[in-house]
Amino acid sequence: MSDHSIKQMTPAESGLSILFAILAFLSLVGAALGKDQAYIFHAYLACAASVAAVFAIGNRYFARPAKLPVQEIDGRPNYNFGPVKFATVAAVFWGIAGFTVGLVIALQLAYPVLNLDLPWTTFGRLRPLHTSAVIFAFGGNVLIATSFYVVQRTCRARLAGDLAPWFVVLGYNFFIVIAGTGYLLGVTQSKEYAEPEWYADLWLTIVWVMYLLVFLGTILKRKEPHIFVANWFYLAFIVTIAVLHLGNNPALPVSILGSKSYVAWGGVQDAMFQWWYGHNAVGFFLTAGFLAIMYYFIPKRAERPIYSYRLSIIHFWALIFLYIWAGPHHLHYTALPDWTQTLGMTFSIMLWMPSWGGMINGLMTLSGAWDKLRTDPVLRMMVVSVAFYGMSTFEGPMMSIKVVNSLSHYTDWTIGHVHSGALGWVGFVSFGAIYCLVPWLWNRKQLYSLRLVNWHFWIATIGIVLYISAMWVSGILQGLMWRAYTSLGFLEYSFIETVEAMHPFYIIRAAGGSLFLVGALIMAYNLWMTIRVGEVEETLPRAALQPAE
Amino acid sequence: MKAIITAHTLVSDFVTTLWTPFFVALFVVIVAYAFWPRNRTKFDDAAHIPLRED
Repeated sequence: MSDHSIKQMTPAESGLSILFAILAFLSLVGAALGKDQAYIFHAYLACAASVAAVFAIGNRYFARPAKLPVQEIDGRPNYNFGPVKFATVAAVFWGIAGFTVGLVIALQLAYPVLNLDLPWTTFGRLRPLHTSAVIFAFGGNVLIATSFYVVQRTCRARLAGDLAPWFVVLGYNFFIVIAGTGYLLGVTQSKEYAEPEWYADLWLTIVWVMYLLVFLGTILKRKEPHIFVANWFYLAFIVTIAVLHLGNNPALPVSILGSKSYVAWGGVQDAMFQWWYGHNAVGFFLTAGFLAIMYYFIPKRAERPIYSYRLSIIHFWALIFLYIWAGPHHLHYTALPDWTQTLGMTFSIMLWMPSWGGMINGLMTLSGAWDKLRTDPVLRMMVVSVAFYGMSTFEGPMMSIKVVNSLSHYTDWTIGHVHSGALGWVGFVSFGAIYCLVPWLWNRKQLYSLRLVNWHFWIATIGIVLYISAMWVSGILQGLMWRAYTSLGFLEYSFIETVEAMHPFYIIRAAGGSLFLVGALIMAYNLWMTIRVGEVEETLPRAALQPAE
Repeated sequence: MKAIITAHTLVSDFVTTLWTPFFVALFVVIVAYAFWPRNRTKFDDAAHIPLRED
């Protein structure tokens, strides 16, 4: 407890400084010897980031007192919210970036001239930029921020590690930068949602293992004897993403000094691995992780306990047992063996039950507090997100049925389905969580304006409705035109005729997307004003905010 | 060489035949655990964890 103890670097501080110094040197060598432009560019980025990391660790060391932050102050946990704040801000930034790129490519589909005839701005490069920015950059930062917040609060323990949480947050965002700039420069291993090349994959593996260790370390030193259900969902998300990432990405680089690599297995095995990965990215990244948000933030905001904790246990295990088998429904009527397709379809249909069990549990948590939906737009946003979850988890199993899939597959119906889940469920539950988190993290009494939240809610909701209804009509139209025959047995429509028929729906979709983006910009302004001019909360922020003035 | 193949096929047959009943049984145990009357108060209490804070 002596304050005059000699100040020393922790092993993590000195070790990481040395490692980053070595990495800076190695990336400089990589930049000098690299075989392609993108690789050289990424080597320079890695060099700059490593040097910055050494300086950041050094500056932090010189600025901090000799003693590391204590675990508890006056018997209360000394929470570590710095990395949570960073990830929250990053989520808002990447969200707006990702929605903007989405709008650009929606407009490109309606007006192909917007490709600009430049390699970097073609649809094929911007599309993975959009999907990765919204799923991994926006969604990932939301998950890291909320998981680091929720695990501390519900375990009543300070986040494990000193530098480790920062390593996770900054390292993950560096991965995003590498992945995103790589797409623009044409670097891809052509696996949907797993496009980043081998060196980005290796870096993500290191970051993700550290994420798991920080999360587990915090759970291990918990003061609350029971591990709250949200932490189970977060843990399943972290562990499964690690397994999926390692399973789908074994590849052999052509050269250690170049960006191109080849996947370890080819053909239908590769396809099966890819969609085992792809669908469980939906199941464990976009579902399990965000269900954790539902199980913490809805009770918190509604000030009501979880409707049925026992149902949440069954919800968790049923989801874990079933989701992992649903991947083959992405490969109906392909070279994949028929029994595997049927297996994927069967498990997808069975997923109805845990999905709706979870939805009912989330919605019924409001019992006794339904009036808050009228007065609190943040809560309304989260509840509507759960309703969208129910809707898209009804639609998904239906589309996995082979006869339905024969109409829907490869059409815009799939895009509509994905966006009702992504915009309605993942987007809205994330916005709700961010609206809760910002006043809690920055010690503000309440948000700057609930009226603006209300505007965000309605503008974005109209945007989603425009988007998904346009894609339903367009998708079914497209599917029906593709399978139409004349009386003589010829295809009735040429491909270009189907493209022409979809044009009006592409414009409606872009309009819906722009409304969703406008909503997010309103949110960013509201959050900025909350931090800048919001009234400071005197005591520690404990209870949920007042629903309305 | 033959012994290795036999051992492998033994394990493989065992796993591929029995994983379904194993997982079903495991799930039944989990459901029983969740609904066991004695665990009721514990779980009702856990539902309040987000509302209890330091």
